[in-house]
Amino acid sequence: MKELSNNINQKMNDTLKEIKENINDYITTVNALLCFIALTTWENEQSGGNYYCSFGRTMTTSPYNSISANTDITPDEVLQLSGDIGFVIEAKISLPQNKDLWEDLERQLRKYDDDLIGWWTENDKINKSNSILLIEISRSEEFREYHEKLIQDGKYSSDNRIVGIEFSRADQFSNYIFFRTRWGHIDDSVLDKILRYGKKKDIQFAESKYGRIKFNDSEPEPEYLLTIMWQDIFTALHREVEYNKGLKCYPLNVDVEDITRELQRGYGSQALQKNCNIEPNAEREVEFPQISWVRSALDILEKLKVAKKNTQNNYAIYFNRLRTEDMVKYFSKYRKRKKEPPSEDQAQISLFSERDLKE
Amino acid sequence: MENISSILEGKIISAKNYEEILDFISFITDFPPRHFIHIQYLYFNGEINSYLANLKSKDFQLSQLNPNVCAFNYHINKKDYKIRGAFFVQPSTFSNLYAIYSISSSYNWSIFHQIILRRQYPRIVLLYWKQSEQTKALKLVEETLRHNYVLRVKKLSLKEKRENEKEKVSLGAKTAKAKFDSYLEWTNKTLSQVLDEAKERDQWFKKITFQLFKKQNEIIFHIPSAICKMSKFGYFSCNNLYPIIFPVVKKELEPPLKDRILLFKDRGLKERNYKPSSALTIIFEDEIFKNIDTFRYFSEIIKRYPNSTKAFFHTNPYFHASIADFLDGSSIDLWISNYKTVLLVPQIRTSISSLERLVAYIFDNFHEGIVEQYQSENE
Repeated sequence: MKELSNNINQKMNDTLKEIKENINDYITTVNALLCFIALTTWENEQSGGNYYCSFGRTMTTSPYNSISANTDITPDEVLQLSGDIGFVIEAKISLPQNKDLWEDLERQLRKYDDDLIGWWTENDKINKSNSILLIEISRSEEFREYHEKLIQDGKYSSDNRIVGIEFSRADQFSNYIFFRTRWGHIDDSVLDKILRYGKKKDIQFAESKYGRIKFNDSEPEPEYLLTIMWQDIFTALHREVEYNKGLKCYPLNVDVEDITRELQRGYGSQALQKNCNIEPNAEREVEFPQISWVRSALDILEKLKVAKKNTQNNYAIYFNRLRTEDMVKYFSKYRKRKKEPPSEDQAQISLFSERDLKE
Repeated sequence: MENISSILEGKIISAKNYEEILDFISFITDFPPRHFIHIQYLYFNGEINSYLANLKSKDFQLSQLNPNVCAFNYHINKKDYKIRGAFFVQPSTFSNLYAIYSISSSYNWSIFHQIILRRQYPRIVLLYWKQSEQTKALKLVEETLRHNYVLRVKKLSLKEKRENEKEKVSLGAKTAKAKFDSYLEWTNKTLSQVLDEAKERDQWFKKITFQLFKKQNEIIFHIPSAICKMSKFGYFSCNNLYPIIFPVVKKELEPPLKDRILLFKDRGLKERNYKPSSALTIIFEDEIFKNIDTFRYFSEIIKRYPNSTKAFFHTNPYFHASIADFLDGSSIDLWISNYKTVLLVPQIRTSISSLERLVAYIFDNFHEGIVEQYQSENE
């Protein structure tokens, strides 16, 4: 019996560990994307230049795209600097264990290496652009070798504007993100030189200039979203309602759309747009976090018996000071057992897990 | 003299302004035993007079004494103690910074403090003085009065780092609890002796009681002319010599409170129309996080932060947590950003009260440091 109990505890700990690793990968990826904005635009901004940046912006490939013509794509980040130069960026903190799947990423980068439509210019086009892979430092060399072998084998042309930039937390305390080019050249001589030697960028600096961004356009672990909602929104909301002695809680009536908008204003798409000169609700822009993520997270609260779904867009939250040492751990309780081990195709090389490889 | 508090109350009722009450206090020289002028610094945002006038509790009643000043009498009706007294709240030259004055026995003050003042968080926040700030003020008091008085430290409420590191480690999971000892110490030492020993033994004062002895022609009187107390939570009291001691204390200890309120102001995203502020940092003197035990201890301390919910995103090898203040509704992200720095990152709602409470808690339970706006190398 004791052994069984130990096994269950071990499994719960493993699950929590995995969730926290995923959350930290997510935070690091968002921070890398944000710091890359700081790295590429700060000098530019100082000199009064305009810049635009966006996460998950929809761009359209040209009729001559080598991979997929005239299709919409949603890179992790799109950046445009004042010298009429743009970057289309994909960020990877890990890679699939199965190397056969790496070609998807190569194809994705080549798809971005195009005269894309959707830039913040009069004709939606830009003169110079790079397709950039931001890749976590522990995977950068391996992927560089893979990328070059594809070219050596004649599978792809070497005439491209694809740049591989490795990133890492600059030290054990992770307050900085370090960037350095592994292959290719940036179409801007100053930036190219900076990135060739490597440059670290301060996360706090980036947040204070470009928004306290906690999300990008991919859905995080629900525990992460729930923690932010509980800590930063519900805790403030409960101060506005009376304690209900019958229910033994502070009953909050929350509208899914209101919560989503507040998250977007504070930590999501609206925050980034506000600080990066982007018109909100522009046609090609994407919202994050999305209403559906918030709704799914609130459904988890219902499973945990701290919320009740009134309608599709309205929930009653039974708010209380939860007696737990760690809210992430508390919210993970809805997962009754450890997830099934990933299939070979999904398995990851590193400790990090990854949600998907977007095409 | 059973009722020096009643005399103060009478004066408050007839006073036209604060100066009249303060002048009156200045002339009191003969306090009954264990009676003091108590002064408590606090932060309040809003109309403090109407806030106090509208306070309702089953444990106490407040009645306004005079429309010209913010002053009340209080009745505390608890099973074990029924006490009454009067107090007034003097605004400082800096908005939101106030000092509560009362004259009463130490016992009555402690009940008043516990039942009324401490329960008003987050509206009323008792402010914190660092040890370095307190010692600077004490040295200045000693220096200012040195021609006529000798200062001796009478009692110390202390926290001291455990000497036996091995013992600490062997306690395993209870390491955090065993890291410091708290105790009271009675002395008759000079201020410099006490400060030197404190430095040597890595001690923190929670409260310091000192006496001032009259000195005449190199003869030092045996009966103290005044007994004074100072606690790190913004409190000062004395039973004599108020007009010569307190201005020195005030001059030295009001500015750091004012500076911190200014530093903590307008940090939350919402009050800034979602334009982020810079983060804040607590910088410690030494690279304390090089020691993994200290790193873990910090994590333990944060786990035990009262009236809050915590989320730990990462605790090893780096530290990133979210703290939500249940009483105030604010939240703050904490990072250890290098071996000697903790980052405090304001979130959607982050109030002055919540920042003051958290910083005071870290200073009181972990280590004191310098709190300031984050300076980036990239700027």
